[in-house]
Amino acid sequence: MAATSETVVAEQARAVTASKKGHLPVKIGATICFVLIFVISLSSLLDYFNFEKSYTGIVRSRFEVLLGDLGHNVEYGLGLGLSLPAIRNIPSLIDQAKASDPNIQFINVFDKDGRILFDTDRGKVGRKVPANWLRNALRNDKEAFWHVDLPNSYIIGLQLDNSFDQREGAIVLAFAKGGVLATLGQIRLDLISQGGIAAAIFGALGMLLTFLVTGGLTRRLKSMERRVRAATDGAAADDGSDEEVSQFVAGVNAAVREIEEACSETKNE
Amino acid sequence: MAKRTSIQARILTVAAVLLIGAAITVSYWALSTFKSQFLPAMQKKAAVVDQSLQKQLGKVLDYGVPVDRLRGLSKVFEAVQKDNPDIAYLAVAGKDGNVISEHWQVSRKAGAGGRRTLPASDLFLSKLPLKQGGHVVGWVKVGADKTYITRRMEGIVSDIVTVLVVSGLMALELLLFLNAFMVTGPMASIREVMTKVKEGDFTSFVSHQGSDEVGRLSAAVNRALLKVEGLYRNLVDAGGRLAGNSSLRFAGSDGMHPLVSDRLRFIRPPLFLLVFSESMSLSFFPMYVDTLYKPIAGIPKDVVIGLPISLFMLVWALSMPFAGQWSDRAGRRRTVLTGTAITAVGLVLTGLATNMIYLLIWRSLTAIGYGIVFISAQGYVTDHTTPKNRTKGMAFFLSGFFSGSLCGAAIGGILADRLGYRPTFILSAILSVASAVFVYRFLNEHRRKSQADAAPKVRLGLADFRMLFRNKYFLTVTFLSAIPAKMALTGFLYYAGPLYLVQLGVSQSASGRILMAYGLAIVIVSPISAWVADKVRKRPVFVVCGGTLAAISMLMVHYLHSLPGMLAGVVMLGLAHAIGVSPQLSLITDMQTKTGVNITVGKTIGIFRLSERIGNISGPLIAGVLISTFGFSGAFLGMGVFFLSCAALFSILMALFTRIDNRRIRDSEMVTA
Repeated sequence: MAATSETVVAEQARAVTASKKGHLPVKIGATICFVLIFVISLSSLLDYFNFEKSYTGIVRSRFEVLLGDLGHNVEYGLGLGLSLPAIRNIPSLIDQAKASDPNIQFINVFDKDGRILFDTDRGKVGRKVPANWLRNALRNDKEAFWHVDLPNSYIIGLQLDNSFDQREGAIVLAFAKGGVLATLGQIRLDLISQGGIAAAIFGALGMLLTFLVTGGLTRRLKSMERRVRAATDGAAADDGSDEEVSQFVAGVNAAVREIEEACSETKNE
Repeated sequence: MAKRTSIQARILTVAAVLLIGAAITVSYWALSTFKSQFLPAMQKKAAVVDQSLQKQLGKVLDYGVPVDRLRGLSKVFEAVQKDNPDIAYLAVAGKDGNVISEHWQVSRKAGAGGRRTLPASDLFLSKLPLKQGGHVVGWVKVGADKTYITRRMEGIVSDIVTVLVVSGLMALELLLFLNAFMVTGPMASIREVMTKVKEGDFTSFVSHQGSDEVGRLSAAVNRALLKVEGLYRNLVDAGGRLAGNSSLRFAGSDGMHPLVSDRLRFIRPPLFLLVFSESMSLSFFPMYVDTLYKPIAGIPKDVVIGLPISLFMLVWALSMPFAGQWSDRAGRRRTVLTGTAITAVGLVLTGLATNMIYLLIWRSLTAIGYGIVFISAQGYVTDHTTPKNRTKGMAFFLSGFFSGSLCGAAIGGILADRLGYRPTFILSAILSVASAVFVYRFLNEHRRKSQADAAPKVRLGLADFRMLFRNKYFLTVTFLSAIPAKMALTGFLYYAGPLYLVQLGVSQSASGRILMAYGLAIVIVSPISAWVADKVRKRPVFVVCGGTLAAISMLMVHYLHSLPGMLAGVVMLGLAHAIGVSPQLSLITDMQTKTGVNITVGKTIGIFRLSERIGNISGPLIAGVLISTFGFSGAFLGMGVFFLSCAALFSILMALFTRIDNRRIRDSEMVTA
């Protein structure tokens, strides 16, 4: 056995005198607060993720409408039998579209080799697009739009097919993340402050209810402690309100009497 | 006691009310905030759609078609609404504003005609002119649905319910432990010491320390005890002694011994945390394996992906006998600590694995750690229970296991969805470390005083296996019920289920929630089913029901081929196992008594548990072969037919064996008579 009864009792005495303010309801209330904070954090996190998905989706779909219109116009030209580089009105179309929204960073059209044919930034014409864009553009399963997430931009792409359903290239629109990120940042701040307020309100309520619920128990425990201490110090007779305590006090008193009698006898001898 | 239980129930009620209230309040506030940011974005979107339609229709009008002669508008509107579910209303109106053609988004809430209208206050209306030859000839109107965000956020209700289930179970674990650690445990010790003192026994003291009301009462009681012991020592030092007929008893030279009660509950939180951490990868593990997959000649991809799960089960099963013996020698605290540490390291390394070989090695390491904790925790329960309350203790152990498993699956899915697979493994390792910290802080060694209370040590020999494998009941229950049940667990729930959910386009969060339903069904139904099975005592019926329900669950997934079908299948499998698995062992021991097989119950349990692991190991591999040959749907059909055949054969054989044995018993009784 590591600890003797003296050391444990001394340690208990130290714990009791060192912090007389320790209360059972506070500990239970604190645990409830801990779980509350967990629930609030997790709920807010899930709410945020759901909003982020919906908000990014709605913003992106706005640009998809724009890109879809451009795609239709280009495919209309391809349907007339023109090759992609030969569709002369593409530069004016993409310039117009870019001018319609300040968040659009660039729009370009590239061929099936990944070479940029038209770009709102004319300096980029002739360059190659990143490999993953080309991979998305050449995928066999023709999906409405494909997306690439860059550190500062969202990229939306649309495959371009001719009237024989042969892939000719793709049209790509990039829009700035800044606006979306600012909104999401604001939402995060709002959620944190709301979570804090909820934690404070429900935490305080939790503490209050815990005190109410455990009030009877703590009163009983305090009364038991007072009576045991009083009996040990010989300060007062036990009032007999708790049978277990009364029997314990009686047992202690009887033992003390018996030992004291034995002591007197030893002295007499 | 009744009063204490009532306080415990009241605390749990307070916690539940507050948790639900907080989750609903936070989500309600969040929705209001979201609306304020979302609505302007919707307004912009409606304007862009309006401009797009204006351009499209403008081209047609440029050919000279009058606005009231525009054809095929409904098709155009349908196409727009298909791509933009937030657009509720589209219309073309004449110059005077009279509607020529309009289209409402058809939703689930649509009326009998499939049309749904919204009050004007629920629409963001964008209106642009249609021009012909420079003159306004009509209007194109686009209405965005303001309630769209509310409907989108309704989807989060399932997330909130998941959070509430998980946090509710966590709160339950924490509060029950806290109650045992701070109230019921110390109070039981105080009561025991008081009873001893009443009988003149001053050999023990209350070991609980704390500054709260219970701690102060403990200190007061100990102070009284120490006072008496001090007086007695003075007496002895003075050369005196108590009267010969004295009933007082004092401790010897080694001092009074500490009393600690209700230690059983101390194993639950670390077990819960560890199972939680290990189960976090349940909903995405096959997909994680897929990211590391490299073709292996001659082995289908689906089988290779199932391999780490099978290997985990194999190593887990093999580690347990050795871990059990080591735990008996070295002590529970040490082995649980070691096991949690190994599991944590295994989980980190699993998350960092760069190829299949490393993944297999690290999963094996995790399985060793998990096996050590599992068997040591079982040993701890055995140490702190007597034969009378051991079954209750084991039920307590299992409910902790399933609570942890269902919480881990749900939260792991959500985290994997947002953070990715590798960070989720790292987080699960951190949770394992938390479990180790808990063990270090609270789990103390307790050596049993009475050998009579100790569970007998089981050493299995070949002869034991031979004897049991000749027993027709053992073979029937093991091979036609227990092994198929485990195959369904690992083959369907751990392996094919998550992969199939991906194929259905379900997110990781939703996968986790669906897999959580299995654990929930077990936790809720299992105690009721076990109680009914004990009362009714027709255990074969329960086993057959379990097998049949497992088969139905597979067939449901096959025929419904949808997310609701999968959810129904998982719940049904949970029900099947809750009903059919717990009576298996009782059935074997009952039949063993009937047929007079001379082997101890401990050995039977050991061999049965070891044998059923064949199902755990083979489940993912068989499912892999079936999927690579017949596809998911065919594999579920195959599994369903197999489980149904097993259940049918089980019922036929059990009926046949029982009839033969009953006749044999009757004949022998007649001969004896």
